[in-house]
Amino acid sequence: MSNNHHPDEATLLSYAAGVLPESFDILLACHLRECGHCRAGVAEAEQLGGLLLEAIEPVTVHNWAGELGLLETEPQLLCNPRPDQICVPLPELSDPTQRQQPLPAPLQQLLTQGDTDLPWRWLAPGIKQIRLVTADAGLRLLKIAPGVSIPRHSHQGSELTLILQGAYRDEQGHFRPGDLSDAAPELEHQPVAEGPDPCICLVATDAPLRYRSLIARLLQPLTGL
Amino acid sequence: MADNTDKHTEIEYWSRCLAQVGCTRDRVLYLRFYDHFFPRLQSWLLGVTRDSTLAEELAQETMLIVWRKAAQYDASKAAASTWLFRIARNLYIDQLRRRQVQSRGRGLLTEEHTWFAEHTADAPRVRLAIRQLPQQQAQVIYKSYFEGKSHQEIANDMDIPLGSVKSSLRLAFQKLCTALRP
Repeated sequence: MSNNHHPDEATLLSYAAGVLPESFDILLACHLRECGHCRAGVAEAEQLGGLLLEAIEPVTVHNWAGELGLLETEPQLLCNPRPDQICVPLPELSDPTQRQQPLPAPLQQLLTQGDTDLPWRWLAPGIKQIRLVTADAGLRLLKIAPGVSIPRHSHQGSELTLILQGAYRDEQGHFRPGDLSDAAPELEHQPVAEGPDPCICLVATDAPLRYRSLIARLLQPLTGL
Repeated sequence: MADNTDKHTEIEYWSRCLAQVGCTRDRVLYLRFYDHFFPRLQSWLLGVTRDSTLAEELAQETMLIVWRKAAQYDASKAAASTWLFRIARNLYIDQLRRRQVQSRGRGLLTEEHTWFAEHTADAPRVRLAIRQLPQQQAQVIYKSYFEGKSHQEIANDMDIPLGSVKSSLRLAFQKLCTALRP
């Protein structure tokens, strides 16, 4: 699948550095599954990470290689490279360079079985949501009925939106499944679900949205979005 | 210049060294690799975790995985430093979230794709590109990689708008990637 909308390179870099809040990490991992273009960007940011690691000022100087004389005279030490550490049980990863992203149950259900019996809750007319459990509590699924729009808003923080089913359009263009909107803080937009089917998307935020209309602002404490 | 050439071959040297450890299980070579990277890993992990005990534990865990999984390393796909960075970062994130994940009993989304073969980096060129970054761009790169800070945390730290953090990171990343590519 080729996507038209991708995350900001700043977001890819932070994913590679491992510093995104969990909600953003999960959303990006879902996008990366489908998007070779962004995987290439993450790989470059990881290569930079490796070069920075290589160039860093070392904290302490060990000299295990220099103590080989000791290792050779102590056969039991020669059994293992770090005898004091080798006994620690580790989770067996098939490939330790691949990330494993814990998925909230409703999202996993949606990705594997589709939208069947998910516990959607009413949010506003034509809009349902499921709040997902993450460390930063910033992740939710939204289901927007055809033709319905999210009230016009701007952002106080970051907002990532990944389309999972259906489509929507806003001031940035048309978004289809796999497309990711990485809203710039200054962006003011009003996404509208397009097409015959509801639009299901995954949304990560780190601050409440800033609605233009008074009624949306009044309802904000109830909707939590 | 001589120093630069040394640095360039050094990156390749450690990649060859790791590949050889994978093939031959050579303990002497592994310990040389250990001596070089362990203090660097510890230094980096201290920056992101701000906990010296944890940094040492994670650095040791990383080096242990290196010993166990060295046979999986493919020098034609990535530099040893990239491979090591990925392992250490994964352990660090896993450690951050392990407890919560267990208590919630959630499923896992595993990366099931192979990484693209990376270009052999011209390390001196990348280091020069880093030195030439404008101060703000150098700072956001430093805070991302060495202090483990998110965009919002960097914005708060530096007292600049979130949009400036993102655009500085984007510009710095583009410049460094240009230096990375042949």
